[in-house]
Amino acid sequence: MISALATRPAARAAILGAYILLIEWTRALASTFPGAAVPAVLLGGSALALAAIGFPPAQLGLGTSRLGLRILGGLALAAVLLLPAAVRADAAPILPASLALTAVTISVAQELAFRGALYAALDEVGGAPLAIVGSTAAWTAAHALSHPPAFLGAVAAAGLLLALWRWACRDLVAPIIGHVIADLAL
Amino acid sequence: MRRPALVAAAASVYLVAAWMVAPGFYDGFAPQQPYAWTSPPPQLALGNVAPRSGHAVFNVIGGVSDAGSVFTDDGCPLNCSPQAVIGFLPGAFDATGKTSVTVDIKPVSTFPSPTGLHFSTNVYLISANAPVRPDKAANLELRYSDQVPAPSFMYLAVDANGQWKPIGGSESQQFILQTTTSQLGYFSAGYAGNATNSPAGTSQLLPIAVAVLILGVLVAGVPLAIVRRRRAGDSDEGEDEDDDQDDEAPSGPTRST
Repeated sequence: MISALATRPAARAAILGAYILLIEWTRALASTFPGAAVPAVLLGGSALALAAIGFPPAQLGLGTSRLGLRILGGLALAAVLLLPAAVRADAAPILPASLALTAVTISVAQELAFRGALYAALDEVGGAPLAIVGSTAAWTAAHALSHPPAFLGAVAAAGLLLALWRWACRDLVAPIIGHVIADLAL
Repeated sequence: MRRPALVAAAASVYLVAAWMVAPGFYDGFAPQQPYAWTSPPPQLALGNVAPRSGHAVFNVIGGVSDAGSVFTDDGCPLNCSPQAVIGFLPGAFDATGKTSVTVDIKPVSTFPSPTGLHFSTNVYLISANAPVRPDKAANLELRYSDQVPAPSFMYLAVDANGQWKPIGGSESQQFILQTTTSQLGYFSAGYAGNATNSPAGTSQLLPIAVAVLILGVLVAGVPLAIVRRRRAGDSDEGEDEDDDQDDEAPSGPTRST
């Protein structure tokens, strides 16, 4: 079956998208039970990261060449993601330090899943436009259960920004760094 | 320049979208449902929606009212708590001669003056057409915004001319204060005016952190851009040694490919 999927990019992308959404929605549901939020994030994050298995690092946008640029890009993305909250500092909750590990886990896992594996799978099917739109749509849908509807516009815009960076720079390191810093701060 | 321009455009779109809903993109842990204020603090006025009411009817069988809860219909998604919830035990009401008891929760903008108090929530008028029995106190929960100072106590004023009095309160869940009451009337959660409650989980570190990020990008970006430009110039003179075709290598946001 795995070899059959390898020869059918569309089927692989569809299954990957369904898997990622299933994990994210299950995580959102599990988080509603008292005391389950942190285990759900850690387990869900690990399951999400599994989506990247089988993809070469280069196809995921991972690598160490031009690391300075990648890191700098990550810092710039973090600055953009956090700017609205920073301007209104009195309206910005800060993530408790005790949740730092879970925040790092889920942000890395989400980048590997959405802008890494799913982006690469969709890119094979329909090129960059499908990869950008598809990964952003899946990212937004994945947050539909866990976020109030009012936030989904900002979630979608953040997903689009990270996906466009992934396309423009063929890089996933910067989205990972930007996402991790944003999640650590808020 | 098409790619950098698209990234810049996406960043602009994000900034606008995130500005519409505080605090913007907020992912690792789900954000709280935005608090619906009757009178929002100035920094939260943008996008504020009017808070909603709650209503319930409890059947009375053999003089004993049913157990149940009344909550505000705040249109919550899956993991959101209503802004006000009150739960009643079986027989909580003195319902002699009634077949049902009606309970209403209404957010109100006219209420007894909270002299010396700062409220962190709306004021809710909770009323019923039968009194609560003193030995069957109701359980009251008020959710407060994560963007204002956390309340210390729940307060009650029994009528429009009454005085506010503290009725206790403990945090049953994050951003939810809980207490019990055997009286109905005006309820809110807040803290004494001479207390110095800090905003719930907020910090002034964030603007500093973002300023440092921006400064870091500028300070490190300028030399990097100069080095890249020089390398690109050298490559143009000789054979191109760039690895543009290599998927692994980022082209950088300033490059058009």
